[in-house]
Amino acid sequence: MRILVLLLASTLTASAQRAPLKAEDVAAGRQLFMTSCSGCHGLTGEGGRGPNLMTGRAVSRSTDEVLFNAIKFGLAGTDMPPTNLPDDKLWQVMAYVRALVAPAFEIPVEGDEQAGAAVYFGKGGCTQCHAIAGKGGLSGPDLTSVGHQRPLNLIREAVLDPARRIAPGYQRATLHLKSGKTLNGVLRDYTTYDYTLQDSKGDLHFVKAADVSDSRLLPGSPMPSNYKDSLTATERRDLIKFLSRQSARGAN
Amino acid sequence: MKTTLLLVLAAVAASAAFAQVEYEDILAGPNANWLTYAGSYSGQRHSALTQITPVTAKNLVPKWTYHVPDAKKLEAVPIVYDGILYVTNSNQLHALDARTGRKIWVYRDEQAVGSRVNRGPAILGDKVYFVTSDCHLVALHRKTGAILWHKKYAETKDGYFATMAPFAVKDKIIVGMGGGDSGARGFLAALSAETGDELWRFWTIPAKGEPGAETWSKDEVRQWGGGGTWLSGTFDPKLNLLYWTTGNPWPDFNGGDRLGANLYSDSLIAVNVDTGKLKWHFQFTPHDTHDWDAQSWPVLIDMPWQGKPRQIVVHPNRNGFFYVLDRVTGEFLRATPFVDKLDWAKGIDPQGKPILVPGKDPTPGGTRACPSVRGAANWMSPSYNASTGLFYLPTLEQCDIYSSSVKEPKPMIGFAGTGGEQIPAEPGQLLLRAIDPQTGKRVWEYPMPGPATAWAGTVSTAGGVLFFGDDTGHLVAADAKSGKHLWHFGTSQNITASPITYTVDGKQYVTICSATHVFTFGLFTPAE
Repeated sequence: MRILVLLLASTLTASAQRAPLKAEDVAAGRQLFMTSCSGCHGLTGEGGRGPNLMTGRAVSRSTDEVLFNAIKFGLAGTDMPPTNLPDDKLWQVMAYVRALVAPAFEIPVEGDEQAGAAVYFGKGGCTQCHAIAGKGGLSGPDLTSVGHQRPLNLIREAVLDPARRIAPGYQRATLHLKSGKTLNGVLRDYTTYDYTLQDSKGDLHFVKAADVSDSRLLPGSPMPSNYKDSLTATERRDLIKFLSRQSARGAN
Repeated sequence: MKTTLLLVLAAVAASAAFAQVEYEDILAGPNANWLTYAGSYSGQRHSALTQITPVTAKNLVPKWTYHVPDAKKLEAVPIVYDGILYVTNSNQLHALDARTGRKIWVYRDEQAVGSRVNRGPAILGDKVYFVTSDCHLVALHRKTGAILWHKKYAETKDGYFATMAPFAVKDKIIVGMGGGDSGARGFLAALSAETGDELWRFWTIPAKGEPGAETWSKDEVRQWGGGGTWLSGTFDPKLNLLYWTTGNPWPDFNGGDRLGANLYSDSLIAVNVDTGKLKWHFQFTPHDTHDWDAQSWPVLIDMPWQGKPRQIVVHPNRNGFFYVLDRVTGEFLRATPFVDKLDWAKGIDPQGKPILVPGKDPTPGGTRACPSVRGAANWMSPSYNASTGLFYLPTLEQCDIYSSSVKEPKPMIGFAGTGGEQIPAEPGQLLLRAIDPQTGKRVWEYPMPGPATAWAGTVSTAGGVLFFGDDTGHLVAADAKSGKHLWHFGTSQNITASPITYTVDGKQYVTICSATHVFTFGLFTPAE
């Protein structure tokens, strides 16, 4: 009985119901997506008339079977129509949609990882603020396992357009205290009553709102926004490849 | 005067800037911070804090709660350092502002295999540590939550999993394992606190030809012998010895394939922390067939014994006896029953061996025996207050029907040789008991109505207040001398964790995990 329960529990995890993604399926699926799906879901799945496929949980929580059937037969009661493609092509579309939200580490990514590491630790200057396995700065989000924590499109977005989406807990702020002190850093948390500010050394400051005379939330990201110009297309590709492979556990 | 003040201020500023947890801070025992699972290396779980007293306890009020997302059964004892509270759930570590309960950062290991309970983190230097269900020791930066390393120290395919709070001693993190009920071979390992590299490993089940292997009748069963190390231990810095208890032999209830004492199952082992070498061992339940793991941590007490000061280790065992040993040599001094429902042994002989009552072994048809399979005591935290001279112990009065299997034992498939089942007409009863370790006598008890499903522990304070979880989901404050009720708060959930106490900004707090929340209490202050 105990064994049966264990077996059921293991097969019920969604990951066990998803086939590994293949690079050729994702690439072919992208082409099909452009012609069949992008009209409603946007060119990169960002949504439009149809829902955003990159951030919604519908895709990441669906089994292959559920997702495949939604693409093939459409969704009753919504504008999502059936897709008139043979099953092997539908499978490729599904692979592409799946890749939009899958952890970057789990999907094939183009580029040269070693060359990307050289950009990361060198020309890109990333270690000033970001650490991997304890090496690097503390003021930006830790990247040790970013390949598991973000899908590829969000890693790409963070490199090319860092101000578009600020990681939770990394809103920059300046707090002027009634004591005359000024604190600069990121807000790990803030409420009407309390601020938790982390400075560039990693030190935490717990401040009561009543002790603050002026608080300024600073727009944008301290990250360079000009990687499009300062790095070549190849360097950007390799950097993104390198980031997509970062995993605290490696391949196990 | 002015210069002195400036120097003092400078020293304070410097210590704040470079503050990190030193081995010496853990040695000092619980005061403002709570730095290790049992509060101190001695395992006494006694805090020096005195703001909450039998007079002020009635003014305790909730200060904050934190919902741990996904939590179903929290068993964690949090760590508190420098105003930050660290609490674990399965494969997660949450860092909270201990003043407000607001989240600072969370680390989730989404890749971990399995979803076991977790009993808490450890802290040393600038790192906070916890184990994942699949036996990775994870080191995170204590301020930012940045991942410093993951170190796998055992394989799930070999039957291992992990639930314990890692134990930080000197420059090492001591880790253990679960899986003994399925035939995993027990071990205790020391990993480098800096890098996670393994420094030594002590196998609780000896290899072929090693001392103790002769206490197993079949080699193929011995190699799956169990002897889990799934609870944190204690440490004597002067003797340089770790004290760790081990779990049941495998298969749990079917002893026919493992005739002999089955070392080092159900034992207390004293191991040199630098070498991993065994100094001595004491086995509480030789050839156990009732799944009576020895997991209640060994509490180190210096106290007079027959008129002379002695270095003692006490241990309330799942088998119903309260043991007193010399912790230098492992010499058996005395064992007394701490529950009334105890019928498997008439007593413990002068050598420390149980005087068995025949006919108490499990049978295919079932045999009634006491205590129950859950044990008269278990991993729920006891505590000891040197001022009252009392040892506070959650106890369970219950008997079970124990049945055994005639099947050939097979490891790694969840086979335990069947088990113990509650007798419907004889519900269990939880009681908190205060025991005088010098005599073994019960001084007072606090009976708890309820379903006997709590797995809640205690914390003792110098303020003279004892905090513990009861069997109907309350955190209770009682007078440490008399056991008299002072205050309680209902969480409406079954409590399976133990309380801690600490100060932030000079104010004393008490924290306990319920099934899904962290609850924190402090004295009412009108200005708030």
